[in-house]
Amino acid sequence: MAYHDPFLLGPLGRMLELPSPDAEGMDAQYERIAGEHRSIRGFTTVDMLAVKRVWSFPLSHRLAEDSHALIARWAAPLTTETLRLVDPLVPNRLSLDVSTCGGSTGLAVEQYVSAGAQPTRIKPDTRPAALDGLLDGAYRWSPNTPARDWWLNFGLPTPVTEGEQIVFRGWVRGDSTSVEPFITELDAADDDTTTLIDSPITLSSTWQEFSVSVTVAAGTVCVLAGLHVESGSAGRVVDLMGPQLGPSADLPAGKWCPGGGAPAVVIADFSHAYSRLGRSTMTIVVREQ
Amino acid sequence: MQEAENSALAAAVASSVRRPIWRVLIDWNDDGVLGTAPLEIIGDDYIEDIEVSRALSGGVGAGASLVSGAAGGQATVTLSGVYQGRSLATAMSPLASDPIFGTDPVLGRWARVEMGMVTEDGPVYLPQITGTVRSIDLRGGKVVLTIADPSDGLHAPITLPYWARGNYDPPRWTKLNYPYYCRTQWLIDYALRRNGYGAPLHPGAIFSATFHGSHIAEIGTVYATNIENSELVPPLAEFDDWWVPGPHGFVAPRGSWSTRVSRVPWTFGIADVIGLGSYPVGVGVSLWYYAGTNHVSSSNNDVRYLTALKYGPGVDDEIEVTLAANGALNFGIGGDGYTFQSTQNTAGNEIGWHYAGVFVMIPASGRITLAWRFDTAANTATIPRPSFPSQPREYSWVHVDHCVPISDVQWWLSDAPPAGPGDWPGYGYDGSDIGHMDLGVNVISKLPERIGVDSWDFVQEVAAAEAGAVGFDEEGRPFFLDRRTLTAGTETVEKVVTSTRDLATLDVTLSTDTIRNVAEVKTVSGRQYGSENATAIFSAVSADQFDTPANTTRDFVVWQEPFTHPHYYENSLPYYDTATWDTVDNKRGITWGFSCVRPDTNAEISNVTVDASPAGPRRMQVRVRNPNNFAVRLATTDGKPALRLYGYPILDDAPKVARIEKPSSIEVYGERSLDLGGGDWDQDYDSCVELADSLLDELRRPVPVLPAIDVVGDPRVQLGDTLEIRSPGGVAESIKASVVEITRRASREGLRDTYGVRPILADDGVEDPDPPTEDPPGPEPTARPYFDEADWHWDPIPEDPVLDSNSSSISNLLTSTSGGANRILNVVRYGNTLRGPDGIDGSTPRYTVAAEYAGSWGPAFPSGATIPIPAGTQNFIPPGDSKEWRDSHVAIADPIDNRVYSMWIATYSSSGGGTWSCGWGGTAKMLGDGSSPLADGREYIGGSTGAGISRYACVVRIEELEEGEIPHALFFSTDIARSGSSNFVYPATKTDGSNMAGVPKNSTIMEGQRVQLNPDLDPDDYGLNQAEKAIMVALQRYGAYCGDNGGTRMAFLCELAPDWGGNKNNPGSRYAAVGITSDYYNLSKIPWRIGGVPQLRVLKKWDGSA
Repeated sequence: MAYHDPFLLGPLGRMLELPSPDAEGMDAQYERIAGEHRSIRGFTTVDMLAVKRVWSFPLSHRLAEDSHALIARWAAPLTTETLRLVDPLVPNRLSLDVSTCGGSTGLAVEQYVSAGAQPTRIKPDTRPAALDGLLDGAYRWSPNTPARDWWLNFGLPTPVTEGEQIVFRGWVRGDSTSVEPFITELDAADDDTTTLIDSPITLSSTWQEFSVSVTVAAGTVCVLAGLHVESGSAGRVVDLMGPQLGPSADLPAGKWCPGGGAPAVVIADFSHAYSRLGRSTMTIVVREQ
Repeated sequence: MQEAENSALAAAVASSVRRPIWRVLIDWNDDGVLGTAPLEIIGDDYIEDIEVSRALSGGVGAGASLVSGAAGGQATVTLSGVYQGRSLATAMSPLASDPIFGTDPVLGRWARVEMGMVTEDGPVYLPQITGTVRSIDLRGGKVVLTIADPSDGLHAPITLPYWARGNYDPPRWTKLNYPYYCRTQWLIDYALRRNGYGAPLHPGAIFSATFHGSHIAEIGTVYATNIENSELVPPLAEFDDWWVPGPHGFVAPRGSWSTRVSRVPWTFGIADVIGLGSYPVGVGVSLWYYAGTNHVSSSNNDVRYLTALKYGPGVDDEIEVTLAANGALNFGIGGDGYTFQSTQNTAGNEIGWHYAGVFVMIPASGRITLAWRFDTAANTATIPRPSFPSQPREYSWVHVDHCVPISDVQWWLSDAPPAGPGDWPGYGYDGSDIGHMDLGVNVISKLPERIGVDSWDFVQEVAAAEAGAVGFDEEGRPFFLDRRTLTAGTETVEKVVTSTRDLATLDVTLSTDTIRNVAEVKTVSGRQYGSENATAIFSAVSADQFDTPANTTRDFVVWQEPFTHPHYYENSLPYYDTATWDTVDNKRGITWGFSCVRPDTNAEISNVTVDASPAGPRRMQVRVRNPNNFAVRLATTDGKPALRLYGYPILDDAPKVARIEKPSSIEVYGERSLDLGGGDWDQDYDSCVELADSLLDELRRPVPVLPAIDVVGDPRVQLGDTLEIRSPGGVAESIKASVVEITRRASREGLRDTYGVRPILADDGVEDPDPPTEDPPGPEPTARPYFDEADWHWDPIPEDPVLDSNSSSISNLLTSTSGGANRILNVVRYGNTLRGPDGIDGSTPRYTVAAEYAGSWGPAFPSGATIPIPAGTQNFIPPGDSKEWRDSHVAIADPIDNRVYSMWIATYSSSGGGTWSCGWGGTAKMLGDGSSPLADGREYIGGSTGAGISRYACVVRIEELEEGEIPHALFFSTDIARSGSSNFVYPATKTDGSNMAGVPKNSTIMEGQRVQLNPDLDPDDYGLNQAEKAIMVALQRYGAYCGDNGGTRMAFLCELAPDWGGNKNNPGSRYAAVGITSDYYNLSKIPWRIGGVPQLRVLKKWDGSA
């Protein structure tokens, strides 16, 4: 995908390509949720709670009947499925918080660790040049059971489309152990179909960029990405910074793009305007969860 | 302030752009873990807003700007959102289909609200309130949870055990130097334990004492003996205080290494344990003890006792836990001295608190099974059976000796040893501090009666009694802060809030409403003491009361007055034959013994044995053993009942009253009273005075009142924190204040706090006088050694008594000097010779005293009465004796007859071997026994004074003047006593008033009327000598009764001093030493009038009532 690519909306496996907006284009706003305190002498303290995006899609082109029905169903809502929006303007489809290793909210981010050891968020002393000045958060992972493999997944399953060239990038360092970046493809039934594991990377105290790419196979609706550590000695340390997952063309090596390209959303507003018989203009307002 | 040292958190809170966070954790499935399924952590997905309110309320009363009272808290959490495809409200409704919690409303589950900040180091959550879910409100598609702090669930009924330090003390009248009175910590812990806090009791517990601020047992009855300062040897060099830090955040008694070294019953505590039953018997004991430096370094194996249980009749029949000076901890079964565990406790060689427990299973026969635990080490064994008694004793008891600090002592019965570490009492539970528990400043010597009261009400009451603070902290742990902590805590500023950065509002009001500068403290110890004076406690009422058949032992239970020492009955009662009994018959009440006859022949029987022993607080068991082949009767041959017992009455300690004031404040604002409100918790004089003084120090100045202030939220700020509030150029440059109320809101508006604060004033350098440190003026503990039922004689005059309608005119004459009227002391010529009860016993010569006017006026003494008059008793008889013109009073307090005999014109003649006679006299009862007549100082036979008041009452004694204090009312005669036989009032029984001065009737005083000198005058202002001052104070406090006709306006009756030398003008050296140098001593220095205004007033009734 690229800037000229369409937005995708829907649950994993049934994402709908939204038509091109009208000539006026579409709006994407950043909504700040915050409280302000003002002291007697006027000093302002801001309690930042969240920043959420809101997309407004004015669609004057006629939708296919089934697409219209789907959107109406999601807006009702007549489904409990989580809707995802793929924003072509943000190529890194990991969430913003995952891509910054929790730096955007300061909170712990969901990671899924097969053996139960949760990573710890750290502030590294040195950063890869590509990240210097952009973010300073990293995860430190200390696999502590030597007799088994460790798998660290990042974030929610990320929506992809058939035939897409997807890459998982990031920077790692550690203490003489090795890690294997991987991408796992999942079908609509949430079953693993293929796991592509890159060659092991031997870690050192210097940051190294890694990448693993895959061309999305037929039947794959989403992917998970992460790191795998073979069984080995206890007390190994793996640090990870700046993970990215998205179209290979938009995520070149040596660069970093913050995440947020495939957020979970709700349809906040869905309206029709009937300009003439048989012709309507529809507006969908989508709010990031 | 929570996490005060966390600099990252401090920076995050202070940042101009902050990231506040919050969450709610609930133990939904009631497994003791917060944050469990199905809603592990309720976070931003669901929370709309949270409001947490915590406040410290109550304390010393409205207007008092002190940090004290009880902390209560509540949180309201509003939730919304979708849970598994349904609205959260629908999912949580027990009335909806398939609710996530089933039909269980999940009320009462543990819950915690946390708030915090995202910091450089990540998110930091701090607890704001931990309690239980009180309500779930489902409305408008939202869920509103109410979470209340644990005080909401503190409602188990509290009944205090009976405990009073002092009931078993020997006779004494000074304050005991007993260091282990009950403290507030014990009371609060007692209530908490009844609500599930702390180590649970073993289900078979027969004795339990926590020692958390008291020796009072939870199960059993601890009474302490020999715990006086002088008798305790500090066991450990590292402890200076009597109460030392104990395990789990409580205090523990320091103990004494001077505790017993053998199996002599030298104990700190005894618990009656009724019936260990028959073998097999399983007994366990557990405790925490402190091994100190002495026990690590010493090679001395000198052994002291920690605790023991007596199981058999022999001295050695004990199960014991002992500690040697070298740290060796031993468990032993006494018996023949067998010790089954003497291995040195290795854990005991580590300085600090240690757990010890042992269980002994004694089978009907065969080897004994043991199980024991030292800290983490446990073991079992079997040992040979020592020579046990055939059965355990029916009545057993536990000793607790605590040679070192000791805590959480339990003895229990069980069929089996504890199965695992968690089954050892006091060991298996979470040993961390239960919370913050101060010792408290109140000193309680007797637990007041509380039966079935609400726990939370009770906890608040005992904390308020010493102006402490009680409640539960943010983590749901209880706390009790006494004034020392509360005051010390205000010295450190935890947070600075300024109008520049934080404050959204700041208003200040200054008012005198909060000023308090005077407090009246009245302490009632509730203690009781044994009288030093023996008295009759029982006399047989009929001859056949104790008839005992042939060859029979009979037990009788008799009721008597309470006594203190049953030891006098350890031996059998002495026997007297009738002839002897008759000679001691009049010694009723002081002697003890019996006489015995055979009813059918009236022959005297001497081989009967009579024993008496206590059978309860007011009961005696009398056992008559008759070895004869005929019935016997405890009577004399002339049919008089003949059994008597005596003992020592228990008397109440008298209240103490003190006035604490801050003159610097009174001078400016006038008197403003602080009501301590401690009620029956105000028991110890010193601690109450200290408390009142510290409170007045804080309240004596106007305190700025700050309404609630709105500030930027800070999740670290807690109740009791000290803030510095700055508003440069505004209404307050800088104020220190304590936070007593917090409302903390988390919502889309961010994190906001509203504080209620109480300002803390800086030291202004004013130094008021120290509070009274010695016992204040007031009624000393008084034994009422005579006329103990005469309240009119012993009670002080109450404040603002109701006056006689003629008080002014009577007072005008009583204080007048017109016509030479004056006020004098009758010391010699009309002095009163007093004897007894001291110095009168069975050897004192007794006389049958003839009363000359008895034929005309009636008997003066009981028929046949003999009066004991010590040899050498002298009274004033003028030269050329003319009986008509002298009084020559002699009054005798006879402890044997329990009577006071008063003789007027008493005369001794040596003829006939010595005789005494008198003009007339009267008889009063000396000490009350619950029967009529009362021992109220009024004569029930005859009348030795015009008013019928005993000559022995109201007399100024020389000893009293020497001590500088007269503890009773005075007696005066006057020339303006109202005439008319019916013109007298209580306590007079009659009158001889004749208005000798001939003044108008409305200016005469009735016999029996009480007068009082202005109590507001300061006796130090008039240059009085010791005697004059004592008399003036007595006239202010107790007043004086008009009791007789006399030629002087007011003549106060004094004792003729025992050292009087026979000179009518010289009262003797003892009187001279206190300033009374002549008879008829003129009391002109006493301010009867000031500026011509009479300072006496005449009461309408003796007790000041209307």
